[in-house]
Amino acid sequence: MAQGGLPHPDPSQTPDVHSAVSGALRLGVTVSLVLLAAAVVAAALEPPHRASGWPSVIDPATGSVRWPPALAFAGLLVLMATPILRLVVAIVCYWRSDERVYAWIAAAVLAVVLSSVWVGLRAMPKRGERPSRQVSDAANGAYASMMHSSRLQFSQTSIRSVSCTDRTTFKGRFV
Amino acid sequence: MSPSDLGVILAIALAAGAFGAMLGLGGGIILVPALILLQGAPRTEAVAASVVSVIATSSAAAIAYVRDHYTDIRLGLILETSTAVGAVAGALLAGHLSDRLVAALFATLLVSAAVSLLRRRDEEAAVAIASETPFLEGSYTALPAGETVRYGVVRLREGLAGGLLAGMVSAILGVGGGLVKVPLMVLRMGVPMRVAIATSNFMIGVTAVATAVPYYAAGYVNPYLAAPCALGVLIGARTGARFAQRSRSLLLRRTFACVLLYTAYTMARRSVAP
Repeated sequence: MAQGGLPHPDPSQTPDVHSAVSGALRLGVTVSLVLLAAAVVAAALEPPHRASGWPSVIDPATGSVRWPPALAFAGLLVLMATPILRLVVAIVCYWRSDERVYAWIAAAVLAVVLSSVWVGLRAMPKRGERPSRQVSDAANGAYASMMHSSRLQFSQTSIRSVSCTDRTTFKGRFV
Repeated sequence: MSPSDLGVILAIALAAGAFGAMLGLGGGIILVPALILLQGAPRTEAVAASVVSVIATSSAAAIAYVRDHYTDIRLGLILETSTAVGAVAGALLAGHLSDRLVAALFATLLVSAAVSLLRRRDEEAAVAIASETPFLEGSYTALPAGETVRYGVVRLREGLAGGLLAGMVSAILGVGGGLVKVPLMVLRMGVPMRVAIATSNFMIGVTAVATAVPYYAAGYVNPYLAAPCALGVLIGARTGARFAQRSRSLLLRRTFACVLLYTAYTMARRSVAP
């Protein structure tokens, strides 16, 4: 414990946090990379008529699995889980290395992130749905918060207008 | 999927990933307009693909940054707490503040930060803060020379207040927090440019999850667009991280200052738009 009221460890004495977090990242990135590469190859080989319309995992005509979107969604899911995994790994490592204040800080960050996810899930209207005024206002607030997280730069857009007007999908270039 | 479209999307994503990883930003500044203008993607789908790609940028770049101790995990976690609180506060205040006024103030702040980044050097900043007691210490091995660089992080309260402000401004204006936090760490907290970039990169992936999951669950993520984007960004970000580790700090500073000035210009336009 040292100046400033925070633990002041020698970084050379706690190398396991960096290597463990880096290892967790490598695992998540490698798995998602393989799945996404397989999805892109499968999409490139997919017959053009099957790529039309909004891509769903189950083919509505035949009831069979469409592998390109299935692999893509799986890869994206692993990708989104990777930052959560690295936070959990950091919590465990800091807890075990007796730097428990950082374990608590990491846990607080994880709690805030999961709370934001929960709020976003409640506020975000499903694609194609017309949200109520109340939901729309909540979504706009959440949207402003999300823009912070996503680190994007573009003019603010109302979720209401997006969900009501954006019926077109990105499909033309792939068929 | 036609090979030409696939090639274009992968090229855009490679550039966005490399750029984002090099400067500690998400890369959305390139990805969103490029997907809309060059590929004709609807805005929602471009944004959704970009949001997922921010995580790809962060995760792929952080493998090397964290392994080589460029990322200050402790500092990142500390700043992230106040930024997250600021984002929530900003979202609540968004409807009660003048968007134009905030945009004008933010543009001024960005110009000031850009000028400071261009004028001051790491060595000068280190001398200026040498007399202060650090609340964190760290070190990294600078490539390609292989020398060990030690640094101390100072002004915890200022960092937390800056993180809070960054979160609020980002939530109100929709700009990336990395644009605020990198200059804050470099100019006010004594963090070397490369460490600030790596630490910012580490943080954006964590917070981007809060955006990406709702987009994904609500069905806005088009796999035919997001998959090649994320794939290209994963590859580009690793290249960008390697380049940032080996490039001169001055080059990174100048490039970052240019991005700040460009953002200030867009904010200034927004503040006077009819």
